[in-house]
Amino acid sequence: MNEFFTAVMTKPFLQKALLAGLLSGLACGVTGTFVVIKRIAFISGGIAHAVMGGLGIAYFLGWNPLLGALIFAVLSAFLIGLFKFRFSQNLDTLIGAFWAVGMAVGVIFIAITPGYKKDISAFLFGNILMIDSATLMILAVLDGILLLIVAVFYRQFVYLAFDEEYSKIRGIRVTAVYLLLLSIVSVSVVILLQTVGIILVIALLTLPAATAELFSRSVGKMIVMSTLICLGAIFLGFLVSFGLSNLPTGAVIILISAASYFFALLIKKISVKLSRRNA
Amino acid sequence: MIKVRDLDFSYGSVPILSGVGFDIAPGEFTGVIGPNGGGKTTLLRLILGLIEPVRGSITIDGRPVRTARSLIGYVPQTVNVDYGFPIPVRETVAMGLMTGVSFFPGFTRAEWVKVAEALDVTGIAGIADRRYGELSGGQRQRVLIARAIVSHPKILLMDEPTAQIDASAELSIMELLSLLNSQGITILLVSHDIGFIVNYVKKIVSVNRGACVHQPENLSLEEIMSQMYHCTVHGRKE
Repeated sequence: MNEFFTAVMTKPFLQKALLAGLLSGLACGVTGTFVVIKRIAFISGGIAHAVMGGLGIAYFLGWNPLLGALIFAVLSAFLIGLFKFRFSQNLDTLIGAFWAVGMAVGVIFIAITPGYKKDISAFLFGNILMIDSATLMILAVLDGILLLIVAVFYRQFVYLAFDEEYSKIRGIRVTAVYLLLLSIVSVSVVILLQTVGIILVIALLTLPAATAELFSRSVGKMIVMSTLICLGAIFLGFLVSFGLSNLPTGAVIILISAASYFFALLIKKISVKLSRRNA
Repeated sequence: MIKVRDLDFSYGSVPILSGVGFDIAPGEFTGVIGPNGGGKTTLLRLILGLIEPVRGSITIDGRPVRTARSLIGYVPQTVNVDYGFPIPVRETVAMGLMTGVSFFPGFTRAEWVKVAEALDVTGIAGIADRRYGELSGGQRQRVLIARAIVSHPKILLMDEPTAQIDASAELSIMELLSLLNSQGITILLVSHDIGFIVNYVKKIVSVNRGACVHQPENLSLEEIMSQMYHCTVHGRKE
């Protein structure tokens, strides 16, 4: 462990990676809570995979890939949100189509990009150790936007998740708030891309929040607990992948998140059984 | 006063309500009954302004529905959330004070006092900190009633609030509704259980595409049932 901390103190790339981990943990904890309570994990998965199309097109055009990812993420969030209200019966199929078409567009544009072919596994599984200062700055701005939106619309998001019809009766603009919620999911997907990649992002948006839900009595407490679990998983992921040399950090973070969730589930089951026995 | 006039509604080409009209006076406790698919819930959704009629009008105290929502408290049949949804009873009740322009977390102290009053009136102050998902069916309905009355509405609209709870919980909910009605709240209660609600309501509107209005004290249960099934399109009777 000492070796890890010494490396953090002396190697700027590790410092940047840890900062990116901190920013990812905030996005994961805050947005993950709403993904879990509104039960939109599949929709979030669709947005995450559609992002691959934006990455591929940006790569083809020579743009910053994060810009392409952000445009595609927000666009797909809006389209999926509108489909939910217009074509709710076919929503599963439509999300599946977004999921696959995004990936296909991305792979095709990367394939037709002239010159050196980028290894797409960095997009799929992330590589937090390769993050540069400019990307770090973009992630910080996106995190700021995300936290501001949640601070302003916190209650509207909670009530929308709890009872959509009643929210409408109370005068909340349900469609607009739902689209805003999907937008923060899309921003979070972009923030988490560098940490865990497209394929694993949905795990980081659900597992820590689902773990926190087991022990939270309010959404506010769930957000705090979920963020701490995310940060813990990301930090431990660094530590383990550093100690066991060259294990991919993103994959280790996800395995730690999954292990925490199943362990928490077990603890919850045991505590419920014990309290029933004592009652 | 709720005034419903010549109301038509259809889903696509399927007519649901046709020529429906009736009045509900202030302070009245009215039951809305009718067969499945007869249009009871559609009528409630029209009064709530969640859907628009094809023809006809609804006014509440002379105002169109959309501008009169603040006068209405609504209790749905149930809110299906998972056991683990992390929202305490107190916060669920506070939802009734939310408006379209409520931003930033936090209610005022006066609003939390209103929440405490609604919890007291509905007899659930003791479970204010428990999660909504952990509660029994009867307790959940009390929470939803507290949520509906926290903003001090003039009218309470209820969509089969006792459909998923046991008989003793149903009895205590109906007694709570009688108490609220005695305090001046107008109640419009949709129910399939005519035999039960007839003991509490002062007026019955039976809906079967059309609508008829009955005064239960003047009619037997059999007579109301018989009239209900003749209350089809344009078959309005008084």
